[in-house]
Order: sequence, then C-alpha cells, then structure tokens
Amino acid sequence: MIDGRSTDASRPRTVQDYIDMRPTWPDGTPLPSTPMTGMQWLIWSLAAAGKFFEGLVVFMTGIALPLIARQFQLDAGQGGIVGAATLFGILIGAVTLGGLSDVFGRKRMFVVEMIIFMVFLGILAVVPGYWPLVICLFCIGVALGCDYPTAHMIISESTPSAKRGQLVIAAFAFQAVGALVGTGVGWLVLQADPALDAWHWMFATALLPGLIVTVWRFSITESASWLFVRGEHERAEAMAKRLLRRTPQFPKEIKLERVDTHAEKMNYGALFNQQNQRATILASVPWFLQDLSTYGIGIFTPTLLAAAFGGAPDHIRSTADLITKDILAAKGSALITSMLLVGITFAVILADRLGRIKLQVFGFVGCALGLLIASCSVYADGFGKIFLIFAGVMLFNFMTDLGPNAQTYLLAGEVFPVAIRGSGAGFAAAFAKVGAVLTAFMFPVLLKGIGQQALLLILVATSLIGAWVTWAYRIETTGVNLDTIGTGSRADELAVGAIVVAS
Amino acid sequence: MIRRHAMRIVACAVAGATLTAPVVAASGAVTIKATGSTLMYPLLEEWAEHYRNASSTTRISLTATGSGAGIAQASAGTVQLGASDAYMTDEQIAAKPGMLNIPLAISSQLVAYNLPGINAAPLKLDGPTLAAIYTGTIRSWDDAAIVAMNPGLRLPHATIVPIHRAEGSGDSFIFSQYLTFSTDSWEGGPSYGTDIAWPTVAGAKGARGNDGMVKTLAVTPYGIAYVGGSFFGAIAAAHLGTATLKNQAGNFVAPSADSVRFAAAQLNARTPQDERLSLVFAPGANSYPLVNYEYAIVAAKQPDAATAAALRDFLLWAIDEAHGNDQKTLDPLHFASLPEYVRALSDAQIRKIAGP
Repeated sequence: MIDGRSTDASRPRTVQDYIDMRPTWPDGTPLPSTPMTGMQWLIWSLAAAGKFFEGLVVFMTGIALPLIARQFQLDAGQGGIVGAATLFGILIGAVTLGGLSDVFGRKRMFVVEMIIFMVFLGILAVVPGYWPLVICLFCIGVALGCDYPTAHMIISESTPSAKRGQLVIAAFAFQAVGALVGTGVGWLVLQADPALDAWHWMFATALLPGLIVTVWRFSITESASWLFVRGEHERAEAMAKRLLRRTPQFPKEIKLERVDTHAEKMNYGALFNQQNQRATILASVPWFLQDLSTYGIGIFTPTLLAAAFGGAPDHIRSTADLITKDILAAKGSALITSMLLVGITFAVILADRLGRIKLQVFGFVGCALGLLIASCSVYADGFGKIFLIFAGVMLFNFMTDLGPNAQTYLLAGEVFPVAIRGSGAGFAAAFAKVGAVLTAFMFPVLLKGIGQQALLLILVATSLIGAWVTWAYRIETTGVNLDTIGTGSRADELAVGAIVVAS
Repeated sequence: MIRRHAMRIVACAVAGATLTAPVVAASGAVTIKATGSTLMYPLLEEWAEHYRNASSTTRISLTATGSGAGIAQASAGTVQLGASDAYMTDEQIAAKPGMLNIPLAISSQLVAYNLPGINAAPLKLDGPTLAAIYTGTIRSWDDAAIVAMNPGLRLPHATIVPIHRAEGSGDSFIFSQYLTFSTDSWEGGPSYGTDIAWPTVAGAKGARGNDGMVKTLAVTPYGIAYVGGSFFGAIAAAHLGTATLKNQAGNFVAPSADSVRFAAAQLNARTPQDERLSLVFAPGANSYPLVNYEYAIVAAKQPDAATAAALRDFLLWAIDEAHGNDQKTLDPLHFASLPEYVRALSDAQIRKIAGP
C-alpha cells in the first residue's frame, strides 16, 4: 500500500514518491518509516566510503607535505603552489565534473571520480618530483570537487525524503572519520619509520581499500530521477525497481507516467534565472561566508595546539624536528576533527527534525558568538586567555558543524531542480572554494593591516550576515520530495519561501 | 662589481696531499686523506700533529678546500674524511645513503667588520639588518637601523661592502641559516645552504676560505664578512672588529666560550641519531647565535678493513675528552668540546665504520 501522506494528488507520481512509500501491515497500519533496501544501503555506504577516502587522503597529504617539501627541496613559492593545488582542483572539479553528472549521469560520474582519485593516489604514492606532485594533487582535487555534488545526489536521489538529511550528513561525517583515521595512519607511519620518505607508505595504505570501493561502485543503480527527467522512462522504472528490491517486494509495481519533464539543458546560466537565483544565492553565499570564518578561527590553532600538546620546535633544525612538528600537527588535526565529529553527530540527529534552515541560522549565530568569545582573549592573560580561546574555538567548531558546515553541503544538493542539480551544487561548492582561496591569501595581509581583534569582529559580522542570508533566501527542503523542486507543483511552492515542518 | 676572481685564494694546503685512494703501505701504515672546512682546518692540523704520538701507523693528510668540497669528495670516495661546518642535506643523504655525519667538536662563527677608527668598539647587529646588508637594502653604515642598535657609536656615512664566500662553504651555510631563522624575507629568498645565490649588491666581494675572508676584509675599509671562530686570532691580528649579535631571545651576545657552550647546551638533547642538527640561532638568553657542530663526513663502508679501522680509531681519539676533545687543546683554537649526550651519539656512529 502507498502511504497517502507522501504523495500529492495534484501531480503524477515521481520516482521519489515510490522511494518514500511506506509498507503497511495487514491491518492497514503503515510502518513508522520507509525501510531502506540493500541497494540503498550499498549506495549510501559507497558514498560514505568516498567521503572517508577524501578525509583520509586530504589529512594524510597535510601530514606528508612538509616531508615531501623537504625531500624535494621546495622553495616558498613552490610550497605555495603545492598547498593550493588540491584546493584549486576542487574548484575546477566541482564546476566541471560535478556539472557533468547532469549530462552523463550520477552513477557514471560517481565511478569516474573514484577512478581519477585512485589513479592519481597511486601515482602520488611514488611521485618522483615537484611537477608530478602538483599534477597529482590537482587531479585528486578535481576528483574531490566532483564528489561534492555527486556523492550528495547519489544519496539524496535514492533514499527516502524523511531520512535524506540524516543520511547525507552522516555520509558527510565520514569525511571527518577519514580525517581521524588518516591522521592516525600518518602518525603510526611516522612512529614506525621516522624518515623523510615515510610519506610513500601513508598513501600506499589507502590503495587497496580504495580499489575495492572503486570496483564496487560499478554495481549500483543509476539515479532513476535523473533518468526520468532525461525522458528515459523505461530505464528509470528498471532502475527504481532494482533500487527498491526487497523481500517481500514493495512496491510490487513501479509505473512512472510518461509526462513531459521540465528538463533544462545543462547551462550554468539557468542557475541565475528568476526561477533558480534564490536557490543559487542560498546554496552559495552562506557556504562562502562559512569558509571565511573557518579561516578566521584558524588564527588560534597554534595557540590552542601549544596549550594542548606543548610547543613546536623553535625552528626546523633537523629532519627529526620536521617529523616532531608533523606529529604535533597530526595531533592537532585529530583534536580539531574530534570536535567536528561531535557537532556533526548533532547535525545528523537534528537535520530532519528541526530543519536545515533553522540549524544553519542557529549555527551561524553560534559561530559569531564563538568568534566573539575568542576575540576577547586579547584582553586576558595566562589561564584566562587560554580559557577564552578554548571556549570560543570549541563553541565555534560545535556550532559550525551543527549548522553551516553540514547544512550548506546538504542544502546545495537539494535546492536545485534535478536537471541542473549537479551544476548548481557544483557551482555552490566552487563559489565557496573561491572564497577559501581568496581568504587564504588575504587573511595574512588583513591580519597584519588591521589586527586580530578587528579582523575577528569583521568575521563576527560576516557570520551574522550568513544567518541573515540563510533566513532571507530560505528554501526549507526538510522532508520535501526532491523530484518536485523546480517543477511548479504544490510541494515545490511550499518549499520555496516557506518553512515546511517535517511530517 | 664583484671582484671574485681577484680573490681566488687557496686557503691552506698541506704538502703531499693527493686525491687518490687511501694508501695502505706494505708495512701496514695507513694514510687518511682529509679535506674540507677551512674553519676546521686549524683543529684538524693540531689533531694530526698530536695523533702522530698516539698512533705509529696512521697519518692524516690534510687540505683546506671548503666544506662543500669536503662533502663532495668524501661522498665520491676520493678522501676518507670530509671536514664540514654543515651537515649533508637530505638530498645529498638520499643520493649517498651510506654517509655518516659525525660531530667532532663545536664551533662558532664571527661577523667581522672593518670600520676605520671604531673597530675596537663593539658593534651590535641583528639578523634582519645583516640580511638587508647582504641584499643591498641597507647600503650605508649610518643607516637608521644600524644607528638605532648602536646609539653610542658615531657610524660613518660610508658604503657597506658585504663580503661572502666564493666557493661552497659551511660558513655560508651557518651565516645564511642565521638570516633564514631570523628574517622572513631571507627565508623566502636566498634561504640557506653551502652554496648561496647571493643577491647582487654593487661593490660586494667574494673570497675563498676563511683565510681569504680575513685578508679581503683587512684590505676593504667599510667591509663586513662572516668568518669561522677559529680565525679569531687572525681577526684580532688584523685589527678588525667583531660584532655582538642579537639572539633568539632578543639579547645582544658577544662570541665567547661561555656563550657558545650555552647555545649548544640548549639544543644538544634535540640531536637526533644521525646528528644532523643546526645549532644556529639557539633559544636561551645567553646563547650566541652563530654556533655549529663541526662534522666529519665519512662513508660507513670503507674500501678496506685497515682503512676503516684506522679511521675509526682516529675519530674515537678525536672525540675522547682525554685526547682530541680535551678542552685545553680546543680552547686556543676557539672550539668547544662535545657534550656527553652528543659524544655518545658520535661514538655510536663512528663504530658503524667498517670495511667492505
């Protein structure tokens, strides 16, 4: 039986309606929620595994880079290029490959990105010099950039609406798990082999599990929603059937009505037309502002780490000093990532209950408060100073991971119509990364020019602006059928400009 | 214009030294060939002389060619002992993984100047100012930055002539590392090493060896140069000035046996197993900033067992505080003996030297 509350009688039944159907007991009582099928769990697991490898490799690269820089004798300029290569790759990958999932399909890009990732990870493990290193890091970045929209869509277009937020953020959280594991692996490798070339082993550890995940991705179903808007109705039905295969089978039959879809051609211009510009602003601007304040709070990281683990070597006087400093950085990453996991766990629990918009607004305000508390540390000394920094940074990290860090990612993959969802989410990720690149260069200049206190107060303001933009351009997607976004149906009208309380 | 070729002075040479394989005579006598650091040369010369009494079968044959040549020739196997003020870089170690870097003593470096009339006055300088002098940003001795550090001195309005080593040198490594650790712009520019791409400064000079640096400075009014601590006597004899330098703690400290030992003591526990550690710009209120280990660069695997044994015995003798590392032997040459912790590490490395 179909749960009547999950469909809208005024429009034909969509793929998402079938995914959202709740089986009923013989007495007519519906199950409390839609049970996930094996294929849905497989898709989610493979997307989460991708996020895990992202975190793993990005953090391991962070540990490996000082060793690589020393081994290859990179000068400051080369070091800067190496440091920016992955970030620039993410920017390009999100815009180009992410958008291609609207043309070639979610599954295809889901497989392609993992192949790119694995090929260049394999080369990275044996990379012989500077330029191959830059190319590898850039191409890994391209794959990661593609994954921003693709992993989100592969989950959100194949899972029940009521659990979508939870599932997408939970998969996103595996990035932090991967970061912790990557940090741990890096630390273990350095303990076992405290040598400059130990970084080869760090990357090599990820190759075999990564290969398994890559091969497994070939076995999943293509997004039926994407096939449907492409007009491939039979394939869409077949894929939906495979996706929802369970015992006993439910639903027994999937029949999608052959109606004209609103497929828009893959065109970035569509993101800025009247229909979509609200979604584009909501997906992009808060994400950009969140990246700004994340860099801001990073000012305190050295103080925080020195207080937690003792000071780093005064200068790199030996290879042993370099490794000591690297291990210290690894511990610092683990500490910061642990805080991230706490916040994101709350985000997983609350995203489908309180709604994305409320959490993002609340999170931005909390970030502003955390930055304000940390900025007050300039007026204190000794314990008071450390206490204010700790309190501010802890509050910031909890709030950003409960709010904007998780919710901007979630919203970017939900607020656009199916046909341009990959392009929209890709654009939002790229826009945020442009901000990240710019701020990485501008922050040291601003810090010197206007001072720490003024800079942090500016960031308090930008966080509050993030809260305002989120509210002013709100599109609540909690529990909303994503197939209806941008179709002009009743559910979509509800979604735009109004708060929808999840049922 | 850099008058580099005018200054091509071979610092020191010892008759009889040839760059060929070690000589194990039919009688069993071994000649160990050593070359490298001109700063370390006076110490090695002293040790070679003393070692004649300690060993009837081993002779040390010396040339002073600069640390860069010492590392290169020891790595190539043309000498058994490369004397160097700098440890081998990671790249050099990767290319020659069997090489050992063994500290034998601690030394210092002086920043000397030729300011007619005021050489006896203790001039104060810091890393950023020296970096500015060697990049040509500060050109005159009465520049505001130098005057601010030396309020009691009447500094002349005369163009500064920076003098640097013309060949690969451990002294260049130490000096440029001081500039790197104390000055961001130098770190992002020439950085440090035995071979530095010195910024072009009008009138700057290059000189070979520490002996050449002192001689060049002596004939260059308003010049400034970095010179190995073992040439303290030569600097004094030439009536040149020696600068007091700003350390990491922000204090101006003069080079002395105490300030050199104090600096080394701040860092000796950080010496890793392979002993490749910089002592430059050490923390601590009383640390003199230009301090370094003096290294024997040797191959762990020697061409024959007799050479290996002779080299091992000589180096163990050199670090023994009852023999080569006796402070009474080191004091006149302005070297300091190894701390116990470092001596044990050097001992362990020396015992790795073996035949094929």
